[in-house]
Amino acid sequence: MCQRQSKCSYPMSLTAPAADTPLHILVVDDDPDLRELISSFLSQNGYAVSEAANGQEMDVALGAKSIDLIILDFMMPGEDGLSICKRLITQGGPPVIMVSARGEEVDRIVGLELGADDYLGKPFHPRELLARIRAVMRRADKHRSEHSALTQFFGWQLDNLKRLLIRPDGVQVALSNTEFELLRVFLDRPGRALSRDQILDFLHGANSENYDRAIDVQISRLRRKLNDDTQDEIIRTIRGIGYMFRPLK
Amino acid sequence: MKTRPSIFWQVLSLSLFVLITALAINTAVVLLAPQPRPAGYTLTEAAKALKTGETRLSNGRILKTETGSDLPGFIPEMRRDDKGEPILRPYEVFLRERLARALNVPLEDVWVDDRPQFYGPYGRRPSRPPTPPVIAHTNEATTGTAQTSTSRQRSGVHSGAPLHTLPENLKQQITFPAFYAAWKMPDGQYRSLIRPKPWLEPWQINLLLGFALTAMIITPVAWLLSQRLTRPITTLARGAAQINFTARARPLTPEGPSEVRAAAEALNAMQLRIRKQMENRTAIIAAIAHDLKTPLAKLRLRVETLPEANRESMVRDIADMDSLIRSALMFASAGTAAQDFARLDLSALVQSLCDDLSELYGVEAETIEDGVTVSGNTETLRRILTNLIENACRYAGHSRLGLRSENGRAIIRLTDQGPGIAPSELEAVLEPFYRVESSRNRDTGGAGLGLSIAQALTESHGGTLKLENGKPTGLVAIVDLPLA
Repeated sequence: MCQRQSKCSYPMSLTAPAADTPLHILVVDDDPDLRELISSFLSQNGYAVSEAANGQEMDVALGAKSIDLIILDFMMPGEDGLSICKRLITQGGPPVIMVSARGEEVDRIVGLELGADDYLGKPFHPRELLARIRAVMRRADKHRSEHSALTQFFGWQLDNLKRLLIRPDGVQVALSNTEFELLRVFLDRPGRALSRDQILDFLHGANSENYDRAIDVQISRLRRKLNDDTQDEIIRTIRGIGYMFRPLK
Repeated sequence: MKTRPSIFWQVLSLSLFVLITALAINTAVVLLAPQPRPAGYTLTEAAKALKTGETRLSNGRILKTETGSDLPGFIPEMRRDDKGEPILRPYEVFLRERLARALNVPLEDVWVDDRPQFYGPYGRRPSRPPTPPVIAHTNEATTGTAQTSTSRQRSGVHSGAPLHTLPENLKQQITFPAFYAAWKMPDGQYRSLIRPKPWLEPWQINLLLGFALTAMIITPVAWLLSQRLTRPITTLARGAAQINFTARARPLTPEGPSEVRAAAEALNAMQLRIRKQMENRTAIIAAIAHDLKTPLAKLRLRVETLPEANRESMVRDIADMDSLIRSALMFASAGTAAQDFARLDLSALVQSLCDDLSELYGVEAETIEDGVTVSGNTETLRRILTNLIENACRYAGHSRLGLRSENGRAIIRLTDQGPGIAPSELEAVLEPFYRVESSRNRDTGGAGLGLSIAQALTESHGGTLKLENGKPTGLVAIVDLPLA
């Protein structure tokens, strides 16, 4: 996953990828029916799709065309999805969405830890697949550092996969989804004063309804989890503007 | 790997050691201990006591006397002949005469009685032992000598020497069993010996000393050896109690005596067999789940091509099947789930669940104690609580989640205001695939695995899950976890 950080310098943008050339997606699955069903569903939704039944076919396809994203089955005869995924990551290949019949949380985390960009359990809602593809492409464009499993700050660690904080003394502190997203917003923009509106935009996208008060409550909760009542506070209140995350070093 | 002699040999050698030590110590006591001082007192000692009031005996005890104007109690009890004269055995006559001489008073002012009092564990002597015939015949007139006299002294009597020619040191050397003696003092008062309280005879003390010494020497050794003997068994028991069946479980180290090693190896073999069984079971369920889920995924995609009208119910059926398969898979792996435990802030976890699930399942936070830390797996604990919250939502619509710590336990209470569960069914609902039937159809029932999974996962964290009926209504689910 480290190799891919070369793309980290992409400017941050929330705009969708350019639509003139369709994205090329490679579907790797040993079940021909499923492969075809996914392919036709994706074609209907405007993607260019190639298929591969196993690792070798995938390598051939990767050599022949420029692939933007791979949908990879977790369990396949021969070389299984996990080792293919690992290989792709070390080679610096395109983003990977793993699809697995084993919907367990552990598998999801293992897949993500190995560097898969997202994980989807079978059976999945087709529209969810589309949503994940879009999300992965958007992330791939803007900010690849999210793939590092751990973000470190001031002795704390944020586990981006399990979505929990690890206190300096090693105790895990669970975060609610909002708290996690909020902390990500701050961690991606340390040392920048953010207004409540900006924070809400980063959280929910530009067109969300604003709940000024709600954001204060969430931030005070997050601060409590960060034991943030010392002089050296991690999230500072900027009077008249909003909040600022303490600059990292 | 430590090897020790087998328990059989250890026990045998311990027994032999104890036996031999006991015998050796007692033999040593018998052979080496100083000659026990005889109980009782010599004539000199008796005379001295009678004269001065009390005296220290050669065996260390103090011979006391009592003085009073009344006739000492033993005198009226003495056996008397027709004329009321006390019947004295020959050596009592002798004792009386010698005492009278030592005290320098007339014979009539001295009384002696030698009634048996205490003779140790061999029972009582006949109250009137037969007078030794030899003495009776040869010295009837002048009285005989003491029964306890040694052969040397007896030979003196045998030779027919008159009593007054007996060596003077006789009085000091011969110890008589405690006897009664009293005299009338010049002032008219009577003074009598207080016979030492019957206690252990010196030879008995020697013997008991031997026993005590044996016990003192053997007890610590036996204690240490027994501990040494049982330690491997205790270790084995502790190891066996902690044995588990995950792939990462470590086998017991076979060590200690051969019997314990054999037991450890048998347990390891059993652990392996059970693990294989469990792995098989999990593998089968996983395989079935996999083989069901791929067709389900295909169905789900095919549904998209159907006319809108048919779609919804099919999508729902697929979702139901999916959740059933997922529950079964989770239940199958709940006990064996390879979990990496970490210290985690349970308060933060409970709070974050309330935030995340408040809209979906109508759960709200009750009092949540801060800083409750347990050892566990965040995902697993989330799963446990989510299942319970989901269940509460299904039957009651809303629930309240609280956390407090108490006596080293973290106690999570999920309270709802639903109909509750009949007391007879409170335990049954935790059984897999059990569903409370009345008024609950498939729509609300689920697979009947949610609570079972929650329970199995709670137990994998060393905790317990209990259901109670709330007051006045509703159900309370209590998850009780050990604090880290």
